[in-house]
Amino acid sequence: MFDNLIIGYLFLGGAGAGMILILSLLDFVANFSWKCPSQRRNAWKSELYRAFFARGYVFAVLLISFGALCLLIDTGHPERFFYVLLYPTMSVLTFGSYVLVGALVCAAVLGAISWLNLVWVPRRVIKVVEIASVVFGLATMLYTGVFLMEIDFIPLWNNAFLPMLFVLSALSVAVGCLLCCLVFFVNDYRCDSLLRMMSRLDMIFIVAEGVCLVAYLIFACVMLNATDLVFELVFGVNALVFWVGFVVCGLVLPFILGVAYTKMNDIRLLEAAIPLVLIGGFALRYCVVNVPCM
Amino acid sequence: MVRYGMAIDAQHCLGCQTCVVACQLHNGLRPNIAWMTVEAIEWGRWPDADRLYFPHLCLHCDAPYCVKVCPTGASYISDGGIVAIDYEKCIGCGVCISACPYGARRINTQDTWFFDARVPAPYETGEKNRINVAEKCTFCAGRVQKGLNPICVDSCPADIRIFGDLDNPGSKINSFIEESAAVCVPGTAVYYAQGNRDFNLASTITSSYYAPLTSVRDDAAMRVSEGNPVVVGVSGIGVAAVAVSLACVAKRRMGKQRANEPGTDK
Repeated sequence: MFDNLIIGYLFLGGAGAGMILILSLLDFVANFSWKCPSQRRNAWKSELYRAFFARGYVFAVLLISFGALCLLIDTGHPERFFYVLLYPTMSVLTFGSYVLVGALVCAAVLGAISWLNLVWVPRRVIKVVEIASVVFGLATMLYTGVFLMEIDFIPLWNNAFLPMLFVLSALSVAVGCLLCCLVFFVNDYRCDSLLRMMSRLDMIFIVAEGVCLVAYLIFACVMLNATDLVFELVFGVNALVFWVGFVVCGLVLPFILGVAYTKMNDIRLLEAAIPLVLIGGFALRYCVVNVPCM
Repeated sequence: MVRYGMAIDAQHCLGCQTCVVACQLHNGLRPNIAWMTVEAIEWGRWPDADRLYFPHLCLHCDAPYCVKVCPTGASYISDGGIVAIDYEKCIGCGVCISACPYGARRINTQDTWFFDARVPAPYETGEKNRINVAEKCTFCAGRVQKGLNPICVDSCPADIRIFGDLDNPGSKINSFIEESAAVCVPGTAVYYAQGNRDFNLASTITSSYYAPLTSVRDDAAMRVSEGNPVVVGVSGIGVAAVAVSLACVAKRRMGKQRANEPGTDK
């Protein structure tokens, strides 16, 4: 239906947007905890230290930039891409381009603040940018699903659970990327509780994603009368990608590894889960973009 | 108000493809591009089977998906309800191609002409710079402005096409639609007289002609795999930059990790 570059665009854009949303929310929680007893505040401050935010935001900037690059390369006239901003329409792609640029700018600003340790930037400004990044992040993740849902004569895209599925998948992939930042690039003894929290968060997103997937398939069968197409999606030409790529790599194994990590507290279990989550996120988008259309 | 439309007597189409070639020449279409096609459609099983030649073109919808999804407004509804494309504004994203349920849109990726000619032949007229932009039937808007019919209508040897104003109750096209009980996909401007044949027009067109971006861009995919310098260059630089930065960060982290033992707060 669309080229693989567009699948990459939806995957990378969603992951980057999910990362800035989670990072901004984490900082919010840290700020709220200012009103809490000092012990808790200190705990937050030591966990959410600069290195993690800096790497997380820079990683998000890279992901979103590469996502945008995928979209640019996929167009016939990349040099005309600014026309989207110059001649805006009410289309979903226009909306997506704006929120993607917004997410990129927010990630770049927050990344620069934490990377360069710009302590002179007023807290209020950071808060505003963080609110904007939550809004742009959520909008970008939703947009990646609505982009397909807009083409509503394709039965498996005309499904209200699709944007939700993409949002949950993007959040799961984003947590995977943040774990990657923690495990490979920060790897500090103070990360332990943050790692545990991220691991739990990932398990919650994975369970929600699984429930949403079931709801998506049931909705398609019952409400859209597309049982044949659902059968084709699940057992058709992309069945291997769906089952092995998405269900096993993206849902089952990361969940099992997450449970094992909470029991055994071995960081290698999380390291193993990271690539699986990423593979799962890409496989989901691959299967959905290449759905049988009729 | 004028609402241009076309009625096609599908029962009497010869399948000769004259309209297809006339369209290609008049509009200067590149090799492998056709704004209209005539395919034989068959259904059923002998003796309860049937077949007819089915001319297919843009249906010029009242509320086109292609216009709805276009991010730059390059696709628009022009005078007389003709769905048109501003080639200078089109960025070639191809979303409109996948979004058209009737497979009316194409995209040309090659700067070539028929018979490998370097320049178009004198009889290949029309806009010349349609490369990597969406394109489709325009009802020959230039001819219509001059009061002429689209070229496919005038070139049809069996005279099965009628073009005219659907909003004019006394027009020839409306008389034909009434006499032949021609039908259209609701909300579109191309009518088909299909006689006593009973088939669903919308699903027939979609199942026979729907062409998502990936299928009309096969040439482009080949171009990428052959090594488009821009794509290869940008991708190569990007991957190299990421690899180098990751390696640097990982190296620094390895150095720091040694000094980062529990009990030493930063």
